[in-house]
Amino acid sequence: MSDYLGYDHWRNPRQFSSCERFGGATVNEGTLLSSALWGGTTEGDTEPNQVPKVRLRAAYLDGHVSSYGPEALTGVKVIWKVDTGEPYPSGIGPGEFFIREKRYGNHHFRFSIFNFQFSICHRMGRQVGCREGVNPLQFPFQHSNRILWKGQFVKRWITVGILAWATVSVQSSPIAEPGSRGVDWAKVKIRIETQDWARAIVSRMRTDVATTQKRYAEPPLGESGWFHDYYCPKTRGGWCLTGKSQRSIDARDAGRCITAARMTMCGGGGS
Amino acid sequence: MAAAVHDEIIAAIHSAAILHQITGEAAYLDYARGKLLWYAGHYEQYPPHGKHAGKGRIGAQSLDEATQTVELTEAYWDLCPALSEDDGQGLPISC
Repeated sequence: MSDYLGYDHWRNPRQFSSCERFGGATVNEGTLLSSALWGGTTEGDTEPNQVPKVRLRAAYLDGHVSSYGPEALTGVKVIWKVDTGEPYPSGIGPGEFFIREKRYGNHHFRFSIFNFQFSICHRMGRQVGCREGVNPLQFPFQHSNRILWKGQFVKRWITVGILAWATVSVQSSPIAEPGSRGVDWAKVKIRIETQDWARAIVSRMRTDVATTQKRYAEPPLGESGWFHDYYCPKTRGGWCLTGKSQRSIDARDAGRCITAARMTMCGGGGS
Repeated sequence: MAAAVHDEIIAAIHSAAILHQITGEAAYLDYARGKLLWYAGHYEQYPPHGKHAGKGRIGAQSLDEATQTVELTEAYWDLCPALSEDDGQGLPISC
């Protein structure tokens, strides 16, 4: 869970997002560039730097899944200044992620996911404080004040052994190919036959294809332009930057081309 | 607005390829195959452009280009068993 998947978009203040449904969440509709997500503001969650009041589940590398409440959550911020461990300020940067706080001594460690370096920070009221002096280049993490006991050392290597065995087992057996690009089309067809929502999706796809097929006999040639540049379907060419949103243009100019007098900048041909 | 037109057409190719997989209807194969090959044949004719967020040929920016390419690739994968060697335009068809 994160504040808008860690990019501080803050579509609504304190609105959290997750790929998993949580209490009070509603669907944030996806766009051309983003998928739909569960989003919502949790109960009583109005203050900055509060953890969301939800129960989360975590899947671990050893295969087990555990559930935990907000009391076990902690915020993870992406490190801004590597030298000091200072995180990005709130409202700027990749944002804050909420994960289970696992108690390793004094709670502070760093780790890397993808290209981000994270720092788990103490929460002191409304403030977030981070310690300094931890080597951020250690992977997966280096705790600043942790002693790795012999029992933990053995446990860690047992885990590594189990994972290695599991990996070899999986890779030694052939993986069944369910169909084109990994989709089990037989199951998809069953869903369409038995589920109303699946039939509705197919129906919408049919409509969309028919509409596009009717609207554009061939793709336009020439420079594509920016997304707000207007395309004249009658001349199959030309683009105009109008300074108005495409939606407003569509509503007013559906089926005809915008005249040159109303354009602020034009290019391509035929418009 | 040609970028948005491409976006709509490529989405239709993607959907048509899926509909062909599901229904087996030849009309969807014809549409998706025709438009996919059209883009394959004309792609180099689109000049790279863009100044806001990377460059694209058929897309408005690099991110659009990437996501559209994913849709075209998935459509190719879905259609591949129905394509012939002639459809490869000199490139091998490999499913």
